[in-house]
Amino acid sequence: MNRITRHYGVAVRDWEGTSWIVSHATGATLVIERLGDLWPAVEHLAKRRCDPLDAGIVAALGS
Amino acid sequence: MIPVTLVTGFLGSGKTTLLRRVLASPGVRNVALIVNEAAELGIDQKLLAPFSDEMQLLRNGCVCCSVREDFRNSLLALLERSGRPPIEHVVIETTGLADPVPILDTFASDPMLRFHFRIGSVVTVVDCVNARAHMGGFRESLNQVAAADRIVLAKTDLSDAATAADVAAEIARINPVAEIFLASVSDEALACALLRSPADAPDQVARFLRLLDAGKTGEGLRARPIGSEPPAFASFCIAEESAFDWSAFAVWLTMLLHAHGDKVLRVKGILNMAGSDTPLLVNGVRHLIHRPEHLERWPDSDRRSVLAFIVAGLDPATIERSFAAFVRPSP
Repeated sequence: MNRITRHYGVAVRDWEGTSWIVSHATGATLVIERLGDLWPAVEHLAKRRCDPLDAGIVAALGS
Repeated sequence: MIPVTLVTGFLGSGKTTLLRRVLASPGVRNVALIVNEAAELGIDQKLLAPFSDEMQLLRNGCVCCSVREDFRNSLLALLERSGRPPIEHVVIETTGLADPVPILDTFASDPMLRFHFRIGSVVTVVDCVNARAHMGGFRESLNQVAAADRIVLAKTDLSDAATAADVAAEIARINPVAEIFLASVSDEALACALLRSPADAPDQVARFLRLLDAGKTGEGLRARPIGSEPPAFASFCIAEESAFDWSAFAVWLTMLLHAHGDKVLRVKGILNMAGSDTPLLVNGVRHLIHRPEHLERWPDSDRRSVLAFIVAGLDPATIERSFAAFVRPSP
């Protein structure tokens, strides 16, 4: 998961198997309970759109 | 949990006729029916009431947009049948213009409904005589076909065999993962089509692999316009030879649906997950993904993953490149 989210300056870590803590490099943090809430949280913290079809992140992960 | 079948189909496609046959067939019992009619007068209710163990009518609005609270209450009321056998299956007949996704979303987002009910399958009835006009001219009809796990081709008796075969082939191009039944099959076969869970289909894995063997991957990678208005629809498959990591896949798919869920009309596949001996069935409609289900076994040594998409206005090659970058194991 962090292999992807680090491209947005965000780290994700498990919290007691029940939720995830999503943290931005600035220190801002959100707690989510479902994987479906991950990308809204990352976009909120990174203040940019997360699009897996974006050529930049596809190239970065593929290299 | 009580399985729920959602029956959709364009205006006048034959949903009520189908339901009358299924509900009257032997062995079908303790099925509750929820009928949604946009009009104030419930015609379908009168036609169906004699055949159902329990029936509720939602009228004067469409359940996908305006009567969702009534819908929720009707479902929860089914749980309280004192003195009568419990409901074993719920069938929901939608209006002809209904979008299935908001209805599925109601089940996914409501804690009470999520606890007591699970979506079994989406069955779409297509009128063989008017199929081209409906699918070519109305986005609602295309959405219903794209959302289907099973499609019943109705009114084949008013059409010739060649037309029925052409319509079935066109439907298979739009939604290659749906099983297609002709309404001329027996009532028992229709009941099975309506009430069986998609995961219970015995040949599920083989059907996906046949998609690949039929050359759908190459063919599907050329986006094909369907219908009269943009954006172009395209159906295609991604195949993967090696087992891959569930977390990487889940992160990719949730990201894709978050960014483009309104354009991913359908995603359905059988996956070979690293660390698992059984195939995993994933099934989603736009931004909604049903709970993945483990199938019983792989039928043979062919353990390729197959992920089928129906998209509108997205480039299939771009999606496959993204899958490769995010999910495909490094060589």
